[in-house]
Amino acid sequence: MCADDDRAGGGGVNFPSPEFDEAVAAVCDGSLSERQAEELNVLLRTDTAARDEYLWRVELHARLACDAEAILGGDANAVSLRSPLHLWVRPVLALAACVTLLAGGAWWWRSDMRKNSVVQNSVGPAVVMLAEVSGTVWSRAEGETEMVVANAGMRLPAGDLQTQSPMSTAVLRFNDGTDVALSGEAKLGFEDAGQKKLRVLAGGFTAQVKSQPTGKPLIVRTTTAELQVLGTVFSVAAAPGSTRLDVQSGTVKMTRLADGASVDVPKNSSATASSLPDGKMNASLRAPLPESWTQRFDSGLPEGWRLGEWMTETGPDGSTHGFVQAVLESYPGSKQPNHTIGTIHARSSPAGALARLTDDTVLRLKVRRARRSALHIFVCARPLDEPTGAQMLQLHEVPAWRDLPPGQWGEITLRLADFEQSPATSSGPRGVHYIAITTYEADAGLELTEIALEPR
Amino acid sequence: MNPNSPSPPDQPRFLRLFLASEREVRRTVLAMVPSLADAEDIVQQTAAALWEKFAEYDEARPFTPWACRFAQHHTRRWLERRAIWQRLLEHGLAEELTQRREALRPEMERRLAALEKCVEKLPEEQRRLVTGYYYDRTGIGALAAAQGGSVEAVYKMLQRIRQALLECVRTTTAQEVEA
Repeated sequence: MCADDDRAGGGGVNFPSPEFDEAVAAVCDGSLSERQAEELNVLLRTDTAARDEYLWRVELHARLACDAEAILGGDANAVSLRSPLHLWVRPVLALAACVTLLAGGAWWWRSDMRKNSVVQNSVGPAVVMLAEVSGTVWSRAEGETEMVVANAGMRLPAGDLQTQSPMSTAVLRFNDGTDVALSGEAKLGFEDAGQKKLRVLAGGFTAQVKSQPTGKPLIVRTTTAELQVLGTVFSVAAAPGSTRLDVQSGTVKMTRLADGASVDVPKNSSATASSLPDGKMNASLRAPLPESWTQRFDSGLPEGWRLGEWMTETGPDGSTHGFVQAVLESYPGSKQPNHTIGTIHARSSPAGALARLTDDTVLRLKVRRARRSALHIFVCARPLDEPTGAQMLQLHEVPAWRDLPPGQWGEITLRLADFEQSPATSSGPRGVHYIAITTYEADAGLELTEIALEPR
Repeated sequence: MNPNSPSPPDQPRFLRLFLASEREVRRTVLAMVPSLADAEDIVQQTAAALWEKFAEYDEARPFTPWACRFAQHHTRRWLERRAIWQRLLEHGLAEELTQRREALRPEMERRLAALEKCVEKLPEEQRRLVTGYYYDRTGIGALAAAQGGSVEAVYKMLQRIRQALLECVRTTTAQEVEA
């Protein structure tokens, strides 16, 4: 029915006529020729009966397309939720991709951010500027009881800052350029009355600390440890009963509050301070971030994974690839059993990447789908030695996926260097921070049994 | 205000609102651009724009009309760059169709409620074709290959099926009214 000019006839389209039927069908099927378009335009502007018939036919076509799940979904319901991990992904997952962009440090967000006016809080002198924000972030000035929404560009007096959701991020910038980046569900107290002091109230952060005045190191306090920082890049993850420190450059002195024991933690090393002293404090060399990472789902979800809610725990001590997240959401009114937004997310620190990103890194997926759909993949890469500068990599056309017959398992290997990339703000080493796999088509029935990052 | 109260941009809330409006947004786009693949592009552009502007959404007002205005705007922008669609909808026809569709809507809602029943009445082969095209979004070429027929024949068959369905909903509604 891809009607060409010859078939449309030269004397215009009349109504009713087979030419009218063909032209309207061509509109619906996207195969309209220029001549058909011109003739239909004339007819529909001059013949109200033809116009109404056109609208009826287009509306019926639109209903079939929009309400296919309700009208035609009976067959598809035979496909039930089954192990391994299912990713029933809605078209709206384009939006999940948007969300992942925001969570990654949001390169697209920055242009808007810079337009924001600087807000001077009336309580106390400003000690930091909120340099970057994505998701929901709250602040509270010291002495105040109420938290308020914090926006990029605000200058804040001493107080608390809280990133509310796993996808929230915020970067505090002190006057000397020291950056402190929070992400996930974290809460941090801060002040700078000649000496910078941070209190970790929940979660953790990553900091890039400029050289501090002699005798006035930046102090970080958690419930179990105190850190003294002169100038370095490091990450802190505080959990009830313990604090983990990862140092990327420089040296950080860590003191265990329980007994006053301390250790100097050099670059590329880590140390943990617990509330129950267990002998001498040690700093251990961190294993370099591996170039490979693999996760299988063929026995269902790995231990510690949950569907239905975001996972917010930090990874196990010593882990170099942090934690993973998955969320399942079911939407009212859907005949499909569930829809899952699937992202795999590393711990929010420079060291918290799934694997090191190199020019040869490939993403390998073992997948199956119930129905044909487009597959879009988003990857967030972050510098390993800086708290900011996330980079998005995305791929919208996946030929191997397009050719994969429905119902059949297939392995797709994609070189990340071939992905469309946002500008990199850092030339240093990068790690893959998270991966989001989405489809645009409704209820594609995407199943994922293995995902891996590895050198080609 | 406290940290537990919703605050934009709030992804789960946005997803809930958008999903509730998604069907109407899609219909709005399809009414102007019935081509499924093209309409899908526009819906995605609309969704991205809605998310980007979600902080500006006034919660006191319903979400769907707000979303549909975005859909109309993005549809118009999309049409501006497509010569064939411009030819089809130029000289004020786009506006005329939009207005007339609004006028016909109550009747369309009433009659098209019978669409599911009419689809059920289709012969198995036709129902499979409709499911493949509209639900599975299988391309015409693949459908033709699966049937062992020509692409032209599949287009023709879809055209006939749609006309039969339209006739069916009209008849069904008329019978219900008479009953």
